[in-house]
Amino acid sequence: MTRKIIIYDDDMDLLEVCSLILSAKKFEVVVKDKCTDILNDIREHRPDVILMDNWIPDIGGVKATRLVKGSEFRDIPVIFFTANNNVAELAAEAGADYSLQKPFDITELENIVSNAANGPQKTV
Amino acid sequence: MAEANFENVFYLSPLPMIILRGPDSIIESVNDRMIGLLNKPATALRGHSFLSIVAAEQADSVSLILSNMYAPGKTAHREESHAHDIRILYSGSELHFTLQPLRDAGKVTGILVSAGQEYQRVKSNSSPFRNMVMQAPIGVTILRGPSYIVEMANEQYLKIVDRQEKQFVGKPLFDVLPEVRDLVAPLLRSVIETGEPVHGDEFKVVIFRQGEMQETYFNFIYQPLKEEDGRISGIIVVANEVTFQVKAKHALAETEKQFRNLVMQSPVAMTIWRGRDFIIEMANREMFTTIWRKEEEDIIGKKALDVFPELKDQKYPELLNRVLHTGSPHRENESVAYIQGDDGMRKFYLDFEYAPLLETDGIVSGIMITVNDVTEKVEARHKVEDAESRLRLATDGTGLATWDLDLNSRHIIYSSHLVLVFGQEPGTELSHAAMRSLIHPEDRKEIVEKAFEQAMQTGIYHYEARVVWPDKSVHWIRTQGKVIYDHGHKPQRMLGTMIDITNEKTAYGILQDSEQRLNMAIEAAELGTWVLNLRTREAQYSSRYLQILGFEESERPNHKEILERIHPGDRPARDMAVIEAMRTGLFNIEMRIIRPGNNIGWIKAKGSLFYDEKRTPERMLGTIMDITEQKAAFNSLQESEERFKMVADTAPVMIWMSGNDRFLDFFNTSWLTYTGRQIVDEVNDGWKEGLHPGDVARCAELYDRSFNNRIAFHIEYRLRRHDGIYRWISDNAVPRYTPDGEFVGFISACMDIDDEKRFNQRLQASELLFKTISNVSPVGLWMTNEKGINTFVNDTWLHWTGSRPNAKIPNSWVEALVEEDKKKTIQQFELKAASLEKFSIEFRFYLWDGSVRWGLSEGYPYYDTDGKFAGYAGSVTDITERKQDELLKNDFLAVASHELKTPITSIKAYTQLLARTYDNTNDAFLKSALSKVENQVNKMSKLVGDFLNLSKIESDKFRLNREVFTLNELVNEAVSDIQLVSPAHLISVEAPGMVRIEADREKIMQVLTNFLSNAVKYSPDHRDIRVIIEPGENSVTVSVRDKGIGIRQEEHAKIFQRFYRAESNNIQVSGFGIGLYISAEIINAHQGEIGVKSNKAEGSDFYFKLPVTG
Repeated sequence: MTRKIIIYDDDMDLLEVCSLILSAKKFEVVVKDKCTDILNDIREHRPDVILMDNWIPDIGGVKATRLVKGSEFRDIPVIFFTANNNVAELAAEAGADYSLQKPFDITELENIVSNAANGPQKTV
Repeated sequence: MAEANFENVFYLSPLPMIILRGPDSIIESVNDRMIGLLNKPATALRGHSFLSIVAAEQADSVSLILSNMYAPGKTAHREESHAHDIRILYSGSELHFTLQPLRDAGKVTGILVSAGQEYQRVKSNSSPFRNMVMQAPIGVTILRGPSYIVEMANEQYLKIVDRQEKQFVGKPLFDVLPEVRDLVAPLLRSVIETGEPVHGDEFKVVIFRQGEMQETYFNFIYQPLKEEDGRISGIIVVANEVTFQVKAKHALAETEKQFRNLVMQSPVAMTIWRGRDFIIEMANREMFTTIWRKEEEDIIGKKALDVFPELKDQKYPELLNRVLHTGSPHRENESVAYIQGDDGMRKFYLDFEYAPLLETDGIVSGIMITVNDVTEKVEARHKVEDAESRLRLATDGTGLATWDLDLNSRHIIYSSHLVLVFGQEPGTELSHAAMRSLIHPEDRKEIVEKAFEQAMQTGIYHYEARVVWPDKSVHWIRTQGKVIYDHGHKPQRMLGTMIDITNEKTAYGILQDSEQRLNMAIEAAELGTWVLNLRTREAQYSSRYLQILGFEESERPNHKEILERIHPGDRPARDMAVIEAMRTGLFNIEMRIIRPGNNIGWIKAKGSLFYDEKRTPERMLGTIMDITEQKAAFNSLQESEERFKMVADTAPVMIWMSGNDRFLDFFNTSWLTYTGRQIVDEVNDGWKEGLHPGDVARCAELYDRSFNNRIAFHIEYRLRRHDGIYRWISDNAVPRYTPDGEFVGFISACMDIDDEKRFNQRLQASELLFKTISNVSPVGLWMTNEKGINTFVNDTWLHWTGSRPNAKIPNSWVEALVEEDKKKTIQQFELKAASLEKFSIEFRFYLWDGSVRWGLSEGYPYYDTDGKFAGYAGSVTDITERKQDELLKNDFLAVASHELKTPITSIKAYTQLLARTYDNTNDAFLKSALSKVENQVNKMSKLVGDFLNLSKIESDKFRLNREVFTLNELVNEAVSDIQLVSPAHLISVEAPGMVRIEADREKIMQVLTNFLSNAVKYSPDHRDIRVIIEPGENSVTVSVRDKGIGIRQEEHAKIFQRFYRAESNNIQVSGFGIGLYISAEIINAHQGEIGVKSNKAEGSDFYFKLPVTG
């Protein structure tokens, strides 16, 4: 069964390479360079996983994740990824389910996304 | 009394005595004094009848008296007054003898004949030396016998040892002065055994006096007291206390040392230049490194203008010369200077001060230069508007009113509280002129206007003055302010505060008054007291007072009747003392009184003047004490003229005496040895020839005045020594009286104080210099004593913080610190002080206006002249600007690191994707190129991470996430990670067993990885690397040992600093050296220890040690 993921990041190149990697892993990938309408995005695409950057227009990854976790979509796993060193701290603050430090190995990305899409939810 | 003792007393007695035996009155024994008095050999007396010395015409009557004394019938009624007085004519003069029966079992068996009262009285009236010794301003005592019985001690000696005559005289010395036994007993013994005098010079001895053990210093002489037969029967002690002079000498050495310390350790650049050639005598490290940038050996001892020829074209040589010639300091702020250092010419903005170094003769011998480099500050200010100078107006909550005065228009803005300080209704409008008019008229010109003028000079405004409220009540205010200047350094505005301090002031006044009253009350129990109201001239006397003056209890004498009791001979002296009291505030006199029945007594009167708050004398309080008995004690002393003459001559001080004809007629041996003149040269007015011509008139005038008023005087003058050199002499003269109170001239003790005078002048100059320099210093300075109590902070610190140190609180200078930093600072100080190490810390403190600044304080232990730890001397530098820069830099690093990582993320992902895509290709170059790109990207991303870590550490966001884990597992993990990327090296792990620790696992991992990757990196040619876990008692040590290129000894301490890398020219390795710095920060945060043992070419042993949990 095809899984669906939404990636939020403002770096177009990174969005592209992540799409390539995850498409190869049979994911249907939706990319967004801002999180203004995040709840509408989710309602429209019904993703299995969300990959969320920290510094993203216009409300930032932390607030966006909280919006999700405070809505009816709270069960959708969110992976928080950022180049900030305190990624684990930020993920916990946002209420995300997973965290990923940028830059990452692509196998790390594949594993964490598959995990989130399939496995039982676990906290960071 | 044992027979032997009695015999001793008989033979040693200063009383001439004879013992007669049998009805024929045969002379059985005769003592030396009697032999001297009768001027006959002993053989001509002993065995002969007493009548043989009696003139023929008296023989019958004396014989009758003698036989009557033997007559048994008369014994009974003579029991009570058994003595018999006779007068006999002998060699043309009349001798007075007392005859006393000697009894054996109630029967008279002999007669003791002693030369009686009249003989003594004649002798004592002609005994200027005895009076002199008793009244001399040097301490004299005479010790007798093997247990050193105190035979006599003069007033000065009793004063020195703080003992009462009754408890002192007649007792063994060490019973009444036990604290000196250990020191003094061996000296006394030596005098007795060798017969040689012992001299002491600045001899240190601890004496219990004024209720405590006091360290005192003496010049003294112990002179053996030889009898005519050569026997040593006692010791004459003459002691002159020099405690003050010795302490002054020590203090001088101390301040000079402190001063030098201050210069050398000051974080402000300082240097001293000597002479008109400006020879560079000394300079501190700061001067060399930041301003001059030259090597010490190229500079010290050279002419300044030779070393810095570029100064010749600048204004400085002229300024230096001016200071040298005028002796007044020169100070300038933000002066431009160009200085050629070893690294080239640099432009500075400097705050500097030239302070003249004055010798005791007032000549400028050099210049002390203080320089503060303010280049950065000035340049920064030129770029941005100085927002700092706009001081925030503080809130009213604390009763502190604030104001802002425009110095051009005199328009004043103030907080609402200010009008309340002036006693006005809230909301009242007050102009600056109106405020001035509310100041108390006496303070307006004297205090406020003066303070204002001074503020225009110094920039600092401060005064305490009275204000008059509309209800006429007087209140005290304290005002502080600071002048704000424009770019041309013209005063523009003044900002400040004002507060009502009336309560503080009045509480202080009341306290002072009541304390003095209390002291007086304590003494009053035994003393007569009196109060004289100086306004009304009304006096009150205590009943004890009237009793002493001989009034009956029922009598109520008035002031005039009281004055009539004073002996007419002492009235002028008493009037002088009153005049003196109005000047000095102290009344002090000893004088005679005449009680009813012509009964003459002595009293000692003391008093102090009390002032009202306007400093006008208001009343005088005093006491009187009956000292008749003490004065009379002189009479009971029985000493010979010769003995006192010897004391006077052997005393280590110079002595002169004058007679009641006002002429000086005696100078002792010390004086004559000193001046190298004969006594005939000195007597009458001869002494004036030896004085410095400039001092003669002054001395003669004071002597005449003192003689007329019969009052003691003290004067210092220059006296020509035997070698022709004039030296300063201190002369203490007191009036002399016969036992009957008749004035017979003056006696004085003189001392050479030339050295002390010089010392004192230098001490004052040195202290002044110390104070001036520390107060003009642009950094805060503080000192503590050995207990950590604050003893000094300089004006700079006071101006910054507006606070004063409290002597009762240790480290009170930290009171100005922000609360969170206080504890940390004190802890750090106590830690360092425990091991006498350098103390250094950064903290935030409140400026007087409430704004927060960053300070860096550094302190060093200092030692007294004996090398004993005496406290800390330290400084506080304002590092606010540097600190703000640091914070900005850290923010910048965090942003920069994030921004760098973002593209790296894409690069890395693309590269790995490419590598995966071409996994099956046969193109070897493509494969290796992609793997190299990936390696470099990984290296870069690690570097960026390090930078971010660094900025976190420095901005104090460094937090540990402690957990308990097994160290061995962590080590194995780290080793396998490194082994993966460096398969060429063989890494072995040695551990005796499992060790569990509580620490931040991730950060300890970072340290291990850093150690291991360094070991790999720096040992390219040796494959073996050992990791060793060694559990200790409360700790565990992990070391990583390689056999690589090693590190030189001198670099061991540096490699844990930022941006340092071993062997920077070794081309085999690359990378930034912040890894070890971060490792050190991590281990330090765990209260652990990090270090390296290594030698060049022998490999390195990096280790860290962590505490182990219970």
